[in-house]
Amino acid sequence: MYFRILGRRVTPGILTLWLIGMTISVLWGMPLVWMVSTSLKPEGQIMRYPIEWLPRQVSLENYQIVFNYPVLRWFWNSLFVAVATTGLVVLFSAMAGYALARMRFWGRGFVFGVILSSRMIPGAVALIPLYLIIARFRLLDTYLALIMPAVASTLGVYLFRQFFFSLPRELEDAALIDGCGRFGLFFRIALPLAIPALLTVSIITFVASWNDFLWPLLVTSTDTATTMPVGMMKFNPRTAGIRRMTYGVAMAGVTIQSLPTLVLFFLLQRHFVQGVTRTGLRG
Amino acid sequence: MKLAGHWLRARLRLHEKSENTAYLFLLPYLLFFAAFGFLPVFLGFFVSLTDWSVVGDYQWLGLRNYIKWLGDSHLVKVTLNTLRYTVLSVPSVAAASLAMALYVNKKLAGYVFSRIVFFAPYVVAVTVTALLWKWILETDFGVLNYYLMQLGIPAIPWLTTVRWAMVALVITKLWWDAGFSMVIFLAGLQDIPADLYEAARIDGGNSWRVFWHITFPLLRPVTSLVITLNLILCMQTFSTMFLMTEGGPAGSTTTVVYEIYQQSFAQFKMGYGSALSFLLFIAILAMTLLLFRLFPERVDVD
Repeated sequence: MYFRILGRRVTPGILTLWLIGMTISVLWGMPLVWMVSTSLKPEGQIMRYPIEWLPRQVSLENYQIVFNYPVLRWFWNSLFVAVATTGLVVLFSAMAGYALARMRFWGRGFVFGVILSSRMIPGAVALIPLYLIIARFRLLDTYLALIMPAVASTLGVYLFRQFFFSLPRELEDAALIDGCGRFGLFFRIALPLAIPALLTVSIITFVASWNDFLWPLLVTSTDTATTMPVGMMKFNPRTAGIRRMTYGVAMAGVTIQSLPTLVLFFLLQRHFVQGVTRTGLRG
Repeated sequence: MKLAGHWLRARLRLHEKSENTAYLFLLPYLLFFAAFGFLPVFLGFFVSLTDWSVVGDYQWLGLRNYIKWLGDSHLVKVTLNTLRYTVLSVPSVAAASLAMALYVNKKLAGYVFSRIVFFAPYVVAVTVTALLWKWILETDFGVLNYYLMQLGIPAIPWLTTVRWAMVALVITKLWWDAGFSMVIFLAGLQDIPADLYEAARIDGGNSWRVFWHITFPLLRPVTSLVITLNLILCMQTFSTMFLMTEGGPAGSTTTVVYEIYQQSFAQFKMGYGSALSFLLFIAILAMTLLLFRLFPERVDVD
């Protein structure tokens, strides 16, 4: 038995499955809709039953309150740190990955072994000593404190090494005959071919940096380096301190914070999915 | 032509013999790795053997920080909280993400929408998730309780009672994180050769049997990976508790990393905090090895 919907044969089983799947999909998206909707409601309409999904009148008062805080400064801090981290990670780990995949040198196995085995160590272990190192060099509350530990990430090296391994070396061979040096080979031939890996590593690094919470929480203390995720704590209705914070303001802040990564995700969906697949499956 | 290729290879191999340029390529990364990836592990271990605090001198304690943990009933509770969170989260995330992946992989109408919606929460920061779900789970005016009341269920004090707080945090994690595991499952599903399904269909297997006899066994390595990754993350959970429940009510959502944070950065007992982090490391390592035992990588399908 089957129905015909838009020219396709559909069995009752498939139809039920589709209905359940679509219901859950819509429900899954609702929290984000609720976030934006709440952020646009005036104070009196937020704590209210019955639930109204659309604001009766759109109001920007929550956003005005949010911008009384140094949100732009936090946003800039986050952006600077995320962009700088991404740039450094991509460049340095591409170079290291290239060397590990393509060149022969004394200690190669050892270097890669150490990098690989350090991936087994959970992040929580490094937290305290990293803090002590940063404090010792008087770098607390600076961009460097946020950027430098992230550049040590092993993920990029690992991904680039894998990528250069799978890249056919004929093109590099040809350039080598033409008398091209290693740096030329890398920057002019290998790196341009590695654009897919480059995008993957960039996206993962950027999003991880933009969203990172615990490390910035530890090393930042004033607005000079506070990033968006840490700044958002000011809008947390419980941890906000003396000033009472409404959920409208909280949702406005959180909407601004999540916008860049959400937009990036909608634009570069495929790369996001590939990034997670590569890191998850072979990381 | 072929000969020329051989000659070229030989020449290049010769050229490749120990290139010192490699060290130049590695240098920038290795500097960072040595300072912020390698050194901290050893420094951390050293600190864990002392009574290091931010200011003043430190004294050598040997393994005393590690032994202290055994006699601390508070820490036993914290450990149990973490295990409870992990035991609740990992299977529910794994099951939900597998279901999502199977559904999306069917490629029914609108499956791209489903994939986007399932994955989107993963790209928002933990502060976003925490504040948003604190609002959704609000006892008096939260959305969730509103719809539960419509179904005749009285309002549940999600984040303020010992009974529900951990469950609420697991629900939050499920929404936030399941998309990540779904993507891994999807990749695993796409690696299953289509002719296997074809063969099963010719043999007259219905979709349920195909799932149990083909899909699920072949997904075993991926399932084990998803479980391991989630386990490692859950054991180190901190931020949602910190932002949503502050470890309460009555310490029922204080996790190990929360405790490390408290000891090291609120009370500045960094030696003790370090010891705890190494104990956590050992626990995670032991659990991971145990998982590998339970889920061997080998797969047999007849």
